[in-house]
Amino acid sequence: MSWAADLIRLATLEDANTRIVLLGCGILGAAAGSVGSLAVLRGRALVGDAVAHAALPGVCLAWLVLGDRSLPVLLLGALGSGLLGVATIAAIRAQPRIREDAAIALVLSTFFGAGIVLSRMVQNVPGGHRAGLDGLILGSAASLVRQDVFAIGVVAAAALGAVLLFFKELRLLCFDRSFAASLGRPVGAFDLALLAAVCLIAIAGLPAVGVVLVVALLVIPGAAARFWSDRLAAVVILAGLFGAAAALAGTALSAVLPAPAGARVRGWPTGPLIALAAAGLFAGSLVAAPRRGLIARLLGARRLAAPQQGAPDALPEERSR
Amino acid sequence: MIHLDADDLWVMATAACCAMACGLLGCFLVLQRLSLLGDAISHAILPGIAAAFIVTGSRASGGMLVGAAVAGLVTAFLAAAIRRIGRVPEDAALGVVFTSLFALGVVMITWVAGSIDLDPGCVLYGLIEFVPDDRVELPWPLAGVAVPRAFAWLAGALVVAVVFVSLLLKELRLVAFDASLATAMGFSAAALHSVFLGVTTATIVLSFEAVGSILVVAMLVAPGATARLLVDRLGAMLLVAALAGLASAVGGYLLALCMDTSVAGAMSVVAGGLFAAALLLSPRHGAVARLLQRWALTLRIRGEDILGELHRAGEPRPSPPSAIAEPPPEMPRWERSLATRLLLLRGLATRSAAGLALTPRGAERAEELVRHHRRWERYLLRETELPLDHLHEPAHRVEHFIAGDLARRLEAEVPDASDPHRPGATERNPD
Amino acid sequence: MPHDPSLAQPVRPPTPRAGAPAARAALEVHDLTVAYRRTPVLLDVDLEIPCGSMTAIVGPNGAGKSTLLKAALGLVPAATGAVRLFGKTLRAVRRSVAYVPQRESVDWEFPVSVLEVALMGRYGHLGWLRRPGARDRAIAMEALETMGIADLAGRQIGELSGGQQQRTFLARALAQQAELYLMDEPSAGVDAATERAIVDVLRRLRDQGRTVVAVHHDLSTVMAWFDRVVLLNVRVVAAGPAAATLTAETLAKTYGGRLTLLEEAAAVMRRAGA
Repeated sequence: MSWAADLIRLATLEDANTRIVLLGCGILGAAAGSVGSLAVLRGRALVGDAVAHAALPGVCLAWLVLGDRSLPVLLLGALGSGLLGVATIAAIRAQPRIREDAAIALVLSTFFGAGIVLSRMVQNVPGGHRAGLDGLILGSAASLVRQDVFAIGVVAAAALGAVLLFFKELRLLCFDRSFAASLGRPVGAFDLALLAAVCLIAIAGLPAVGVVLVVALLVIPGAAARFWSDRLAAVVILAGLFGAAAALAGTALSAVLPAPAGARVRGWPTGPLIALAAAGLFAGSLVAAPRRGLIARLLGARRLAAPQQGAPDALPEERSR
Repeated sequence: MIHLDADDLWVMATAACCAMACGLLGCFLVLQRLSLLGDAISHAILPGIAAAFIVTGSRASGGMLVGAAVAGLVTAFLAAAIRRIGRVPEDAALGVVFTSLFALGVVMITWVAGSIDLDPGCVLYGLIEFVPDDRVELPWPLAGVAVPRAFAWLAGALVVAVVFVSLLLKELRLVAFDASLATAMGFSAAALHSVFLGVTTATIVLSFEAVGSILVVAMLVAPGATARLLVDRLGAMLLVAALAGLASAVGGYLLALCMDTSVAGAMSVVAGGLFAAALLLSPRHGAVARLLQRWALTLRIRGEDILGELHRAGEPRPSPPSAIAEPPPEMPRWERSLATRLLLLRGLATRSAAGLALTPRGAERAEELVRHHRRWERYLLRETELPLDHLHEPAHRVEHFIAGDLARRLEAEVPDASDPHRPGATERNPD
Repeated sequence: MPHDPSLAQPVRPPTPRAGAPAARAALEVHDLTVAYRRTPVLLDVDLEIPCGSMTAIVGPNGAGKSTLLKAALGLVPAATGAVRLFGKTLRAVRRSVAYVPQRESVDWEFPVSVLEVALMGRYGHLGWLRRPGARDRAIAMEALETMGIADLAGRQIGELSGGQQQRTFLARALAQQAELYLMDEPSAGVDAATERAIVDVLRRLRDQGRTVVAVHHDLSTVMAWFDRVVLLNVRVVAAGPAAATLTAETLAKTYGGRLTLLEEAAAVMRRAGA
């Protein structure tokens, strides 16, 4: 019963490495969930997807050019090409004929294709351990080390601090951009800052969640949290909690689950497990949330159908003053 | 020189069929702003494919097609349901559904990775290099001929896409342009949309195994977007998209051979490169063309301003100060010299010892400009609230653009081309 | 706009007009030209709106009515021309200007309450980092009271009817305690009672000496509700006291087909320029 032993080891946090990995994933999930919820509300849900995919060629280039396998160096490369991807989306959007959706899909697939091309070339280089890059595609949280967690912590603290500091302005921007601009707020700069935060978190999340599924950690917790509250602050906090929970659950699962029978993969990729944990939270919220959830709605509809109870649903259009 | 053997040609042909089929259908995705739906479907069909693998234990395309089609339907249904029930924004709903389903697919494949011949990585970038290894014999008319299985399926997909698009071009155009108008005219936009999504999903599924999910996205969006920048008509757009797809497939394969790297990755890079080239160099909508156009316009306006200066300098009697109370237009020196050179070149001005002078043709053009200017001032005076001393600026801006039809209509509306600022010529009291 | 910005000439001082009030204008627009990529342009708009007036901007769809308000607030870049508010630049008087965007411009599913929306009206006075205090809350509540929706303060905005949403937007503008109110179709798509309530509030503002400029779509009520009218169709067709300005001739010019030369010229310039 080795998995039971694993479970016990995990639960008691006796292994220092486990502690580090879980800490990093938890922080990452919290930051991704809360910043991602703002991005969802601002209508930028899928930009994180493009950024994450666009990061891959930067990682490979950093490896090829610098020959350094340490994570901070690779992530710096990721940041460079991720930002280039965002700039490319903006440049394409300046062209009236191509809309944002096509721009995102173009950047995502072209940059990722370039990343695949480069990663295959990395493998051809003598000493090009493909494991390092492969882990970045679908995520392998187990490979996180202390300094990675430190990097994640810095990015998360900066992002969460900025959200806390500018919460009032972010609410204004996300709700009513033109009103915010009429107050003289630099809405363009705020949009850019939000995008940069999403970009940074997506890239900090690459080692744990992977290029392909980082967007799940950015989008799903925010969408799930929206079911539980009508207050922005509550939604953002809850999204952070959901994100942390999903990241922890996915990481723990990958540590506990028995390795698949085949010898071709070393362990479970964490990205898909984290995404599935988030999807589970979303499904639970969709079904069970009070008022907005499926069950509450079905019950509410039944109450409405029974007229003698007189459900106070529709507000009177005009009230006397 | 790269040496290509028969296997290379099969790979290229397979990729070309895939790229052209996706390119044709992708045009409508781009036009209807559904690019991300294509992205979502190409990720979300993975669990369907994985389930088919697990159940049938083989990579035979029949079972895979069914599994993926089910997954595609589930995607569309779930995204719509989440949007309706949860009032989640459309892009976020798509994001939730396709990441969840893709994650599910990866987990399923990892689960059985040892027992079947599939690797989580290959769902992203495909197995196109191995296409020639898996052959099927063609049915009756060509019995005895063995072609790669993926080629047979993708050639079929291309035929279906071509037939579908050419049969329903009129209806698809209408729906892409204005779905509600289409419904009002009796075409069921919803039904056509469903059929379109069905054909697209089937094509994505067939492409998926060969080229992986990422290249499918590139092939769906990049050729259509490239064509959108190059041509204006839908028919031409489809043709250009198919050609761009073909070029990406062939070019990408050659690039991959040269650099000894991933074929699917190289193909999406070439597809993206073609789009970038169109973005910069498209003769009408490209960045370079627009820059040149803008520059030519500036030079033309500068030249016409110089004509105006020369004309006024040669006028026998100076107009009252209010009429040309314009400060000499400041223009950068190089613009002035370039614009002057162009005037000389076009025979509108000559240079002599006395300086620059108008040729008869230049004088004609200058008089025409002055007429347009005055007529426009008169038109504004009649039609708007602009005070008399505010007429000059707008007229000065517009005069450069009055030509052809607009000039004829202006002349018909305002026959009088005398200066509205001159005493006795006003229709309204200028205070 | 197609032409080079350097072709634009310095703005002239406003032309004094007969009958203009001695008081400084709340909003002056000079030779304003605005170009969007495809949607309507404003061409050489010249306008003066006196302090303490209640002005309707009227014109057909695509005439640039919303664009005029947005240009006055610096939300869209002007190709040429200048805007002065109370004789000063926008930057200097920003806190004295309130803006009510169109109701459709925001996502009403957004997780904020009615009171929080009203409190946003205080943000301009608060600056960046300060949170709204008790006084701001009192002002916001008072604004909700004025609009008759104080009892909805805790509701999520998605639960409101269209009329209540519009009242929320107006309450936010009231909480700005501004001198000039720029409103984009404040009475579009609301019930008759809300429409009446809105007009009452606007009149009260005017009676306190504030200036109200509203885009208005209903020709049948414009004369009854507003003192002044600006008839707009890409450029100003006519402007002045409502009764004198709204004539059959000016309306025909605004809504009729005689203005096509201007539109055509604008289209030609757009095509030529970019």
